[in-house]
Amino acid sequence: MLHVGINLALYTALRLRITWLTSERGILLYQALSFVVLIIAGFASASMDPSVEVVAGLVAAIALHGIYSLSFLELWSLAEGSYSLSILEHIEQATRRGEAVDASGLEGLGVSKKEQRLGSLERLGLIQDTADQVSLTHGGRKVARVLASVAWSAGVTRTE
Amino acid sequence: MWLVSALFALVGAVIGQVVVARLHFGGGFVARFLLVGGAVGLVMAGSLVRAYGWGVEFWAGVLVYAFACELYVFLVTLVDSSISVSLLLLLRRGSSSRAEIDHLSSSRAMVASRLEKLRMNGLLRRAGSSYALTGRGLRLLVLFRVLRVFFHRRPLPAIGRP
Repeated sequence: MLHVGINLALYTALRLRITWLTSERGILLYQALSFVVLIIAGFASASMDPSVEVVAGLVAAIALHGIYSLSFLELWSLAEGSYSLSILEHIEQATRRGEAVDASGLEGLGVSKKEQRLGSLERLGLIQDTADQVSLTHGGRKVARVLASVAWSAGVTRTE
Repeated sequence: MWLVSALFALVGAVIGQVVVARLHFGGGFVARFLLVGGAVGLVMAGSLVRAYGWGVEFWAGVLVYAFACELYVFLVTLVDSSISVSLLLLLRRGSSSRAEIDHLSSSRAMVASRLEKLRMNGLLRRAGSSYALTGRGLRLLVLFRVLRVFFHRRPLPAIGRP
């Protein structure tokens, strides 16, 4: 709990001074580093006193850090550029100006998001673009299979 | 034992959620999983209290279960709303040209689907031929404006304007 508190306090204090911390890579590395520090400190304590209580405490601390980091990264990512939030923002602005919602503006945003995401998937090595044919790589097929299973388990069907 | 209990509870919650989803009781995934996962979590917590009291093993089991549930909910919401996931699932059917991707995953359908999801979640309402934010939608937007300033020190980008 103390480690998570220090993580948040440090981020709040440093984000204004170190702009790198507001980037996607920066925030991922910051959370990963905090995780590694916790695991090293936990294993050091467990090696000095390898009792069931200490091991359980280490696992509890790792799980708590996982809950915190995942929530942090989700909020960061949503605040960074969620399509749904951009739509809400667009509608709020249009309502404030007394105008109807500009559907073409939203569609334009959708096109640029799709292009950005295709580029990201290619950089991550999940898809490949050869001679104007976009296809999944070996890794991409594995990831897509896992995601399809998750979608099946939750009864999610994508319509777009 | 506490770790095994937490992992078994997660499997139970996921299977329970699959069964409830197939029975079409209505409601969204998150509400469904909160109901099933919450009930399974209470049973697991009860059995851990009986075995360990309120000791550290109890908290370890509960936190591992909570983390695993959050990870599962995160994955499902990602699958349900992420554009990247939508593209991966589309390409799973076979390779496509960029033009085919644009055709199969049209921006108009994407916008329509998002507007409908936002309306179903009570964040938007129909206002004549257009849309307006509900009170809940406005509160969410204000919250994320604050988070955007905190995380990124910038406001949301404007849409449809140069």
